[in-house]
This record gives sequence, structure tokens and C-alpha cells, in this order.
Amino acid sequence: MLTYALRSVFVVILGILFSFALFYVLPDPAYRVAGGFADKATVASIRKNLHLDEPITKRFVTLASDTVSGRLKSFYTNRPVIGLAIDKLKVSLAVAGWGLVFIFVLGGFLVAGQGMSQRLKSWVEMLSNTAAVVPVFISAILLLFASTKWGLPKDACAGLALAIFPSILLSSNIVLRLEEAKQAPHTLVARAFGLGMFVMFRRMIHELAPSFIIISNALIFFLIAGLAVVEEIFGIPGIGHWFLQSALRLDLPVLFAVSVLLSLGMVRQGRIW
Amino acid sequence: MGLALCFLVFHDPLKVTPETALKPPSFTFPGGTDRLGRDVLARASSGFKASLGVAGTAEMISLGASLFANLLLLLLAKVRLKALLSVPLLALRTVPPFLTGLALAALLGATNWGLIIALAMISFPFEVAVVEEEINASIEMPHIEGARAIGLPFYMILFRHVGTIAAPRIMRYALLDFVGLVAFEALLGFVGMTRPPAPSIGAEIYNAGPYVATYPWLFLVPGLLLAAGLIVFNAGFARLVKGR
Repeated sequence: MLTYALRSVFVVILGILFSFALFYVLPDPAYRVAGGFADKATVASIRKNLHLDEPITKRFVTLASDTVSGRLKSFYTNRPVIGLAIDKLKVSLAVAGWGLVFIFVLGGFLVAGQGMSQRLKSWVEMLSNTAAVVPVFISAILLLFASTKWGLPKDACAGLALAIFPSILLSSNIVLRLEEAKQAPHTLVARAFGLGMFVMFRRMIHELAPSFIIISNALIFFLIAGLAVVEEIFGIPGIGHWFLQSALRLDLPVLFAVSVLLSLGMVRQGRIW
Repeated sequence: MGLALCFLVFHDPLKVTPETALKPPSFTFPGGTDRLGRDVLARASSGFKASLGVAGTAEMISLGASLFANLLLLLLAKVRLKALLSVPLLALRTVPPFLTGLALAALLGATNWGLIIALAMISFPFEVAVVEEEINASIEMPHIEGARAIGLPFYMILFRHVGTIAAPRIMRYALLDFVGLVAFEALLGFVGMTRPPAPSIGAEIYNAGPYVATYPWLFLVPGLLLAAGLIVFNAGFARLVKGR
């Protein structure tokens, strides 16, 4: 346990250090903040205000302590990153909420359809193998077109763009697990003893639970990764759009906070073990 | 079939002819033309070809580096110093891939090699983990344990036995990862990391976004070409993998 904890701490610290080292590779953010036509004196004063002229160790300590104390501020708005993140998250929750609704609605229809038609099942299998590689920005642009042409709600269309692939993934996995569960020896014995449908259904849910947890991790990953692209295309000022813009505008405090969260999240999820 | 999509270049993709601007698809221009009169299909096709080249090279570099890193891990494990390398490799996986891509593309400039190194660095930490998992799974097989028990040399077990079991599985991952890298390269182009004046399929799709309703071919031609290319490559590789 102690070794695990020590390794986790080392991994988090090193991960944050790697991300911080990348900041020195990026172009000078002071030029971005100042704009294209700023003179050298202006850029120098911005560098001083943003503490970009401080020694590397001092900058790291300042960033780390500000992150821990919640005083980390965006270069552009001068507002605390945590407050900004909460505001942006509220906007993204609407899109993510629609995304989740569509994942379960589409996923539910696909599961039911696969149960009824063998042909649909083979199509969904083929789609789940291929749709993963089609970038989300293609479906997002098409849905943006539909949203502007027919006046459909923007959040719902963005949610649908997010949900297409995860719903296919969810349905094909559920069908696979259900088939495995149907053929499991204890299910066959239960059927032979003539147990009621409710008992069988409860048993199936029990069988599906672990795989559902694993799939939900993948779904969360797709939702988070897709949010940046979908929000950018639909012009929704959510957390994904904010992170993408922060990366492109070199808003280092935001990038630092995201790196810290990502390192902690990965260790907590056990994805790196 | 996937490679055929790279050769749909009937006109110079860089040639500007304002008199033919924004023409819909026709026999002369099968994919229509953009605001500067350039052939959209030729630009999409050249962009896809460039994406394949960049992603393919990045995948080879990443695979080579992963194999080398795993060789080092095995050697370090023999002297009980594996953590020296495995912990930094794990830490690399916690760095946001988009940040890595952005930083390396900025450092190395908007060139093919800049993008190749950025994509290789994004793929490397995950590929190392897959290669390690496959090697570990092979080492645990009974005949490998037997070979170790009878004292066969380390290099012979590694290259002759472990290598032959793990190599096909690693290649399967590499082929599918390559398709993912093509899509990621398009995404980098989509957010503005391009190599002007060479066409980038992601940038073509991004630039066409505001014109979807008025000039749909500007989006549909590169969008469908990219989707078709990725699906064909993925399905082909998946079939190849299944066949093995």
C-alpha cells in the first residue's frame, strides 16, 4: 500500500513537472496577451505582471501553491480559475446532459433493435468497429447545419453529436455481455429449474454491472474529449471550448490547473496502473 | 481502396484561379472549387495523403521507441531498477495529449517533422504500456517459464520466443493506432496546426464550417473523404487482425 501511494505521488509530481516543462517550449504568452502590435516595453510589463520573468523554480512553486490554495488566476480575465471553471461547467452540463440522454435513448433503441433483428445486430457491430475512427467534428458540423437550418436547439444537437459513437459502443457491449450472461452455466441451470423472469432479469443486471462500470469510464472519456470539439464548433462557451481556447491562447494557469486535475484523475481512476 | 483516395488529384491543389471560385461539383472539378478557385477534391485528397504520411511515420517512430523503452525496462527489471524508467513513463501518460501536440508543434515549427514528432510523442506513452502488457503476457506463458527454468539465455528467450508471440499482437495495436493518429492529425489541422501552403484536410473542414449551408461541397467533400478513408483503413486493418 505504501509503495502504491509513493508511486502515485511520484507519478503525479512528475506528470505535473512534465506539463510545466512544456510551458517553456510554448511561445511566450506575453506576446499573445499583448496582441500582435504591442511594443517591447508593453510586452515586458505584461511579463512582469504575469510573473513570467521570475526564475523557473519560483514560477513552479507559485503556480503549485496558488493551485492548492485556489488563488490561481487566468491571464486573460484575472479571475480565479476555479470560479471560471465552475461557470463554464454549468454551461457544459447542459450539453453533457443532452449527450447522456441521447446515449441512453439511442443505446436503448439499438439494444432493443439488436434483440429483434439479426441484420441490425451485424450493422451495429460493423458501426461500432468503424464509427470510432470518424472524427466527432464531422458529425458536429453536419448537426450544426441541421440546427441552423431547421432551428433545432443547439444544446440538444451538440449533445447528439457527442452521443453517436458512445451509444453504439454501449449497445454493442451490452448485447455482448447479455449473450454471455444468457449462456452462463448458472443461468442455464436457473432456466432449467423454471425460475421466473424477474429473478432471471435481476441476475442479468448483476452480471452486467461490472462491465457497465467499465463502459461508463469510456463514456465519460468520450464525453470529455468530445466536449472541446463540439463546443468549439457550436460556439458554446463551455469548459471544453474554454480549455481549447486556453491552450491556443497559452493561458498557462488554466493549462496548469488542467494538468494537475488530469494527473490526479488518472491516478485515482487507476488508468495508469 | 483507402490509398486510392490519395490519388484523386486532377488539378494542382495550390493553383489559384479566381474566375472559377465557388463552382459546384462538375466534370471539370468533381469536388467543386473553393473561394480562391482551387479544386476542393484535389486539396482534400492531397491533405489526406499528407495525413497518412505524417501519421505513418509518427507511428513507426512511436513503435520503435516503445520497443526500445521496453527493452530497457526488461534490463532494468533484472537489476531491480525498473521504477527508474517505469515511473517517468507513467507520468508521461498524465500529460494532456493536446498540450504535448501544441508545445511540440510550436517548438519544431509548422513542418511535417514538427507534426510527426508531436504525434509520436502523443502516441508513445500509451504504446509503451501496450507493448509492456503484451510482453508480460507472453513471459507468463508456460513454455517461456520452462525456457527460463532450463536456463536459456535472456536474449534468446526474448527475441526467439517472446518476440514471436508478442509481435503480431503489437502490430495489431500499431495498425489501429495509426488510424487514430490520422484522425488526430486532422484534428490538429482543424484547430489551426497546419503546414501552409500544403493543404490539410482538418483545416479544409474547419474553413468550410461557416459555408455548410451555402456551399455544402466545401465541407462534404473533405469530410466524407476523411470519414471514408478512416473507415476503410480501420475496417481493412480490423479484418487483417481478425484473419491472423
